[in-house]
Amino acid sequence: MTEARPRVTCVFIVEDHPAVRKMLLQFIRRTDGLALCGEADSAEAALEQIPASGAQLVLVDVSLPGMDGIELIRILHERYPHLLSLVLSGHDESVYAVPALRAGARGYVMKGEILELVEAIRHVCNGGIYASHDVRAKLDRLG
Amino acid sequence: MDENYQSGPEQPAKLADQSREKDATGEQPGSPGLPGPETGNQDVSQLFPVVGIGASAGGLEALRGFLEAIPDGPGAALVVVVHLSPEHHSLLAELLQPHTPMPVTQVTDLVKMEPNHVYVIPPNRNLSSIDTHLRLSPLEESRQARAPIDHFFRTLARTHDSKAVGIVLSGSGSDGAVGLKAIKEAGGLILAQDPVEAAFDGMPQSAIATGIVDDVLAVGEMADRLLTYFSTEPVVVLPDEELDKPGVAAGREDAQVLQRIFARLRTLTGHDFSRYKRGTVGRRMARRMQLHGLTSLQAYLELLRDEPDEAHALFKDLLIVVTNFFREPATFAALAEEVIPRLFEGKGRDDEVRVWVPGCATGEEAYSLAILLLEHAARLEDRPSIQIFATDLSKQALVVGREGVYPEAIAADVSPERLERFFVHSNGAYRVREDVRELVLFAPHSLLRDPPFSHLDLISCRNLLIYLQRDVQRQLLELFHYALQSGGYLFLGTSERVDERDLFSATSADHSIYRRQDVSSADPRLPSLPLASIAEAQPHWGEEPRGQRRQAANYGALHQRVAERYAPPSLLVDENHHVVHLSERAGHYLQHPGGEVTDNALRLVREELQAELAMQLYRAFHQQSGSRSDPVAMTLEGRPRAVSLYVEPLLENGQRFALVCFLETDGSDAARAAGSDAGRDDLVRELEEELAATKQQLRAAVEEFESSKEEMRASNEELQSMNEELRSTTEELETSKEELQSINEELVTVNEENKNKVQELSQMTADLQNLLAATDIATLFLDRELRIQRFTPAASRLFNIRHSDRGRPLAHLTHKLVSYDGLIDDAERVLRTLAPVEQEVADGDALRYFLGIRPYRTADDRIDGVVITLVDITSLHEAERALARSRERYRLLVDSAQEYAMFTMDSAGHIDSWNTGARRILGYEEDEILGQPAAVIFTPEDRESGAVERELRIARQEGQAINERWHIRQDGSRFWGSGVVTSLWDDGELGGYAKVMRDNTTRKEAEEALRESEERYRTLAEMLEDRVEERTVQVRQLASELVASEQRVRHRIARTLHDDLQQMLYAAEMQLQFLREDAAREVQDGLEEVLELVTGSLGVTRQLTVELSPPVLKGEGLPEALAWLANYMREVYGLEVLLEVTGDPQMDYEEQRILLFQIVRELLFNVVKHAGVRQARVTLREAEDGIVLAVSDEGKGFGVPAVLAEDNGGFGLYNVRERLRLFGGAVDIDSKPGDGTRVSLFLPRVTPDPPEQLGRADPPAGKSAAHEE
Repeated sequence: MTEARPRVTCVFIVEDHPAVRKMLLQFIRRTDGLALCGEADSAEAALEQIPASGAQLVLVDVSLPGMDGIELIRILHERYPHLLSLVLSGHDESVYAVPALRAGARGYVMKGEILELVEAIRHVCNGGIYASHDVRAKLDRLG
Repeated sequence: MDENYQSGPEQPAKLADQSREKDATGEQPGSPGLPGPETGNQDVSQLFPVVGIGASAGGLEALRGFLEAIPDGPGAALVVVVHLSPEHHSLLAELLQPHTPMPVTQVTDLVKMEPNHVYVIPPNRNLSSIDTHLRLSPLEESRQARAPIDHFFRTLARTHDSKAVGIVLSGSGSDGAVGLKAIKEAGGLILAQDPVEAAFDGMPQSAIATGIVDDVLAVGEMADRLLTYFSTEPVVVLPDEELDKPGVAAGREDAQVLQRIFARLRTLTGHDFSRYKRGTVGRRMARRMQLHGLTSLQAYLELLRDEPDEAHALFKDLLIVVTNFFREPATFAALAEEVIPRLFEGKGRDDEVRVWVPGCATGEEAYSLAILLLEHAARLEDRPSIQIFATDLSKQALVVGREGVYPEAIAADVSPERLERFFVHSNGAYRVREDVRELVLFAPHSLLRDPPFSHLDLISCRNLLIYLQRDVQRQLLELFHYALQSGGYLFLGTSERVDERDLFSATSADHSIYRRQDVSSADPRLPSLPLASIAEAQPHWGEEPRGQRRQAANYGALHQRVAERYAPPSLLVDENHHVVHLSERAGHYLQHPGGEVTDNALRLVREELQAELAMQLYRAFHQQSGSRSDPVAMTLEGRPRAVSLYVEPLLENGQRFALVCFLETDGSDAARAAGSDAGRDDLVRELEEELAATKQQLRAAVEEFESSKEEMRASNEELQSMNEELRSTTEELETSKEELQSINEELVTVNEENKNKVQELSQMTADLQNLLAATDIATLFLDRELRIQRFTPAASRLFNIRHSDRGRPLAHLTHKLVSYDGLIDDAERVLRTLAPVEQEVADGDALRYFLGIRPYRTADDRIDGVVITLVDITSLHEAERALARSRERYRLLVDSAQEYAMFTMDSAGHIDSWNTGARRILGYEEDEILGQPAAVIFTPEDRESGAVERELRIARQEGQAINERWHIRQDGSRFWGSGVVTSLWDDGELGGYAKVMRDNTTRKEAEEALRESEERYRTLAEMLEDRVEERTVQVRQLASELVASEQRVRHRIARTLHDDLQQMLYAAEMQLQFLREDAAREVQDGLEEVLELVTGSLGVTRQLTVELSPPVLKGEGLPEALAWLANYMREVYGLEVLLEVTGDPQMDYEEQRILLFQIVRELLFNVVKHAGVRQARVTLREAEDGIVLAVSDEGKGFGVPAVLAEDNGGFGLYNVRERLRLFGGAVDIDSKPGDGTRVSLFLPRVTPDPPEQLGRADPPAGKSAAHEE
C-alpha cells in the first residue's frame, strides 16, 4: 500500500492553542512520510490558506474560536472532496466523534493519545476510517 | 231573424265549452263590436271543480262537520276562506286535518291547486284564484273594506265559471253574499248552511237574502249535493239559434225541445226568452240541469212540466245580472264629468231630470246614478227635481232595490265619503238614505212588452243588450230613441255598441255613452211598441221575417192577384186609415193631393168620395159592420159615373183593418140618380146648394176630426207613457203604504211603552211614600203659604203634627226646638231670597239637629214652597268634641318631645305645624317657619339636586320615606338629621306630610371617623400586598439570576481550565512523549514518571471541566442530558444509574433545565459520597402541569431533619429545596438511616416569571464554553 501513495503526505494543522500547535509541528517533523504545508489558529484562516497550501490532509481541533472544527470539516469536505481531514480533540469521542465523521472527517484522535496519530494518518491515507469500534458501530447504526 | 247574425258556428256549440262571455263579467275591457257567439278564452271543461268555502264566527265547527262528510277523493279542490285575526298565527289547517283524509295546507305562496286537496287562507291576506293557482295579496287596511270571502268568490267565478262552487257557512256579518252572485252569474253552484244549524246565522242569512242560493242545507248534507253536482258533467247539447229557422229546424229534435221549453217558460212566467242570446240562456239552463242531475234537454223539459217551481227557478237564474255600485268606475267618472252636468243644463227649479234604468236588477246602478245626480245637484242653486225610473222583470229584485239595504261588502265599491253621505249603517248593512231612495221609482216592466217611459234625459241600460239577439237589440235602440228627449243620453255597458248611427252618436272614448240624434223625419219614428203582440199570441216563437212569409204564401198570393182583376177595385186600410194595400185598379179612385206625401186613405181618395169614406170607415171600425154607401156621382175619365163604397171591417192578427171596395155604376145611373125629378128643379137646386154647403161644412168637420184624431193619437201615446208612470207611482205608493203601516206599528209600540212608563211612575210614587216613611230625617214640605203638604214620621214627633194637620199653616203648630224660634221667619226668607238656610238647633231633650230650609223646586223649576229637613247630629256633635280633645292631647305630646323635631307640611310641602323639638333642633320659632317651604331646612346641594321633592315623592308613593342627610339650622350651621317623612291621607286624597327627625350629628361623625380609619387600613394592606408581590417577583428574578450567574462562573472556570491549563498540559505531555522516545535509557524512568503525572493532571482537569459545565446541557432536552449524566457517573465514578423516562418531560426554559440537571447531579454525588452503594435510580415523568423527578438508592440513608438543618455549603438538600421553592416547585425527601433514600421533586411547567427576565438572565458566554474541555 505504501508504494501506491506518494511518499510524503502534506499535512495542514488547524489548532488555536500555540503550545499544542508547536507540539504538533514537532510531531510532524519527527515523523517520516509527513510534511507540514501550513498551519492556522482559526477555521477562517485555515479556509484562506488551505487552497494554496497543497495539503493532502488537515488536522483539525474541534474547539476553535469562531467557526468550530466540525463546521470547518463540513465546508472543506464540500469544497475539496479529496482532501482528507482528521479530528484531534481533547473531548471524549463519545461527544464529538459521530458529528465529526458525519461532517466528513475520516478519523478522530484524542489529544492524550498523540502516539496513535501516526497510525491514524496512515490508515486514513490508505482510504480507511480511523475511529474506535464503538464510534464506528454507532455511525453504522445512524447510516 | 237578422241576416247579419249569421256568423255563429254551424254546429251546435257544446254547452260545456261555452265559457262566459268576456263582457258578461264586465271586468275586462270589451272586445270591439257586439259579442258574437261565445268564444271560450279558457277551456273550462279541462278544469276540476273548485269549492270555495267561506266561514267566520262559529265556522270551525261547521267546517269540521262539512269536511267529515266529504269522502276521500271528491275530485275537487276545497279552498277554505275564513276571517282570521291579522295579528295571530293561524292553526286552522292543523285543526282541520284530523277531520279529512285529504291533505290540508295553509297557502303561503303562489300554489297550484290540485284536486282532493284542502287549502286554507292564511291570516292578514286576501286569497285570489288566478288561472289554476291560488295567490295571496295583502288584505285591505280598513277593517270595513275587508271581505276576503267575497274577494275569493269573485276571483273564483272569473277563473272557473261553472266549475266554481261557493259555500257560505256560519259567521256573522255579510261577507260572501256579493261574491256568491258572481259565482252564480258564471254558472256555478251556490250553497248556504241552514241558519238554524249555524252557530252564527248572519252570513248564511245574508247569502240567502240575495235570493240566488241554490240550496240551503245542513253541513252534513252538502257532501252529497256536491258529489251529484260534480258527477253530472253536462253533456247537454243546446241547439244554436240558426236551427230555429223554419226548414232547418225540421228534424232537429233538440231545437223542438228547446222551443217547447221556451214556450213552457213563457206560459208560466209570461216572459219570452227565445229572443235572448242562446249562449247565456243555455249556460244557465245547463246549470239548472246539472243541479238536478239531468243530462238531456228532454228530461229537463219533463221536469219543467212536472214542477212548476222549476220554471220560476230557471226564470230567476236567467235574470241574474251581477251589478255593483259604480260598476266600471272609470266609465262612471266619465259619466259624472261629461254627461251629468249637461242633463241639468237649462233646467230650473220647476223642471225635471228624468232618468230610466231598465233592467235595474237590485237597484245598485239606479242608486249609483242617483248619487251622481245628487252630487251634481248639490252644486246648483236652482235644483231641478230628479226622477229615476228603475225597472226590471224580476219583482223580487225590485223589492230588494226598493228596500235599498245592501251588505257591508259594498264598501269595496263605494267610497267612504259616499257611504257616509248617502248610506245609513245599521245592523251590519248599509241602507240607502231616504232622500236618495225617494228619487228612484222601482217598477216591474218588460222592455219587450211594455210601453216605454218618455221624455227622458238619460237611459242607463248596461249589460242588458248583450243578452239579447241582435234584431231585438235594434228594436230596443229604436225604443230608446223614442223615449229619450232630443239630445238625451244613452249609457250602455262598455262592451255594448250602437251601430245605428242615424239614431245615436257616440260621445265617449270607450263607446259607452251615446247621444240621441234628431232624425229629420216628419213622422216621429215610432218603435213598434206592441212587441207584446208577438209574445202573446204567436204560437211560434221568434218573429218570422216578412220576406219569408211572402215566399211561403206564393201561390195564394198569385191566385189572389189574378182574382183581384175581376173583383171591384179595393183598398186595405188599417185602423189609423193608412192604406196598407191597393188592388190593381184602385188607382182610379185615388188622387195625390199637394203637400206632404201621405198614405192616409181619407186624403188619398178623390175628393168626392172623402166624406162618404170617412163615414163608412167610422162605421166599420166602431160599429164593426160592413155597409154600402149611396152612389156618389163623379166624373171618371171624362164620363159621369156613380160610385158607391163598400167598407167591411176585418180582423187579422189582432189588428183591425178595413176593406174598401169601389163599386161602380155607369153614368146613366148617375144621371138618373141626378135627374129623377126634373119638375122640382128649383127646390132641388136649393137643396143641392144647401147640401153643398152642408158638404162643405162636413168636409171641414172631417178635416177637423182628422187632425184632432191625430192629436188624440199622440195624446194617447203620451197617456200610455203616463199610465206607465202612474203604475210605477202606484207601486211606490203601495210601498209607502206599507211603510205607513209599519210606522203605525211603531206608534202602537210607543203607546205600549208609554203605558209602561205610567206604571213605572206610579210605582215610583209608592217608592217615594215608603222612603219618606222609612227615613229618620225629619222632613216637612210646605207650600208657598207655608202650609204643611207632606211630612215624615220623624217630623211629626218634633212638630207635633198629625195626619189631619195637612194643609194647616206651620205657624199654627208648636215645635220642640226650644232654642230656635225663627223657623217661620227663616222659611219666609227662603221663599223670598231662594237662599237656603242651614243651622244647628237643639230640642228639649238635648238632642242636636242640623236644620236645613230649602226652596221646593218643581220639575219645571218653579218655586212652590219650602222643604225643611232636620238631621239628628247629636252623635256627630259628640264625636267632634272627642276629636278636639284627642287633638289637644296629641298636640301636647308632640310639643313635649324635645329630642325630636316634628312638623307637618301641607300637600305642597309648606310647613304648617312646628313642635318644640323642632324649634330646639332647627332654631326657627314657630311663627317664623309656618308657611315656609320645607326646603329651607335642606342644604343648598340637596335643594339643587331635587332631594326635597324626591323625599316627598317617595313618601307619597310608598307611604313613608326614611332619610338621613345634612340639614341647615336657622343660624346656618349644619347637623346630621335622620328621620322619616310620612304622607298623610285624607279619604284617598293627599292631605300633607309629617316629618319626625332627630339630630344624629355625633353618631354620624363617629361613623365618619371609623370609615376613614378603615379606609386607611385597607389602603395600607393593599400597599403591603403589592410590596410582597413585588418582592416575590424580585426574588424570583434573583433566583434565576443566581442560577445563571453560577452557571456563568462555572463556564468561565471551565473555559480557563480547558483553554489554557489543559492545552498546556497536552503540550507538555506531547513533549514528554517525544523526549521519552529520544532520551537515554537512564532518564527514561524519570520521564515516564513525569509523563504519568501530566497525564493524571490532564484527567483531573477534564473531569473538572465536564462537571463544571456539562457539554450536553446546552440546547438539548432534559432526558438526553440525564442520559449523558448517567453514562458519565458510570464511567467516572463507577455508579450504575438506571434512568427511567415516561412521557415527554420537557422544560421550556434553560434555567429550569439547568436547575434540574444540577439537582440530579448533586443527588447522585450524594449517593456516591454517602450512600455506600454503587447503584441509583432516576425516574423522570411528565405530569399534567410539570415534571416529577425522583432519585433513589438503597444505601445507608440518613435522618432528614438533621441533613436539612446542616449548612454544608455545597449543593445540599437544603439548597435543593430552597431553589425549587423559588421556581414554585417542591421537594419531598424520604430517608431513614439504614433504609435507603428517595428524593422526589416537582417542578411546575408554568412560567414562574415573564420569559424576558429569564432571557436576560441567560448567560451570554455560553457558546464556546459548552464545547471545550
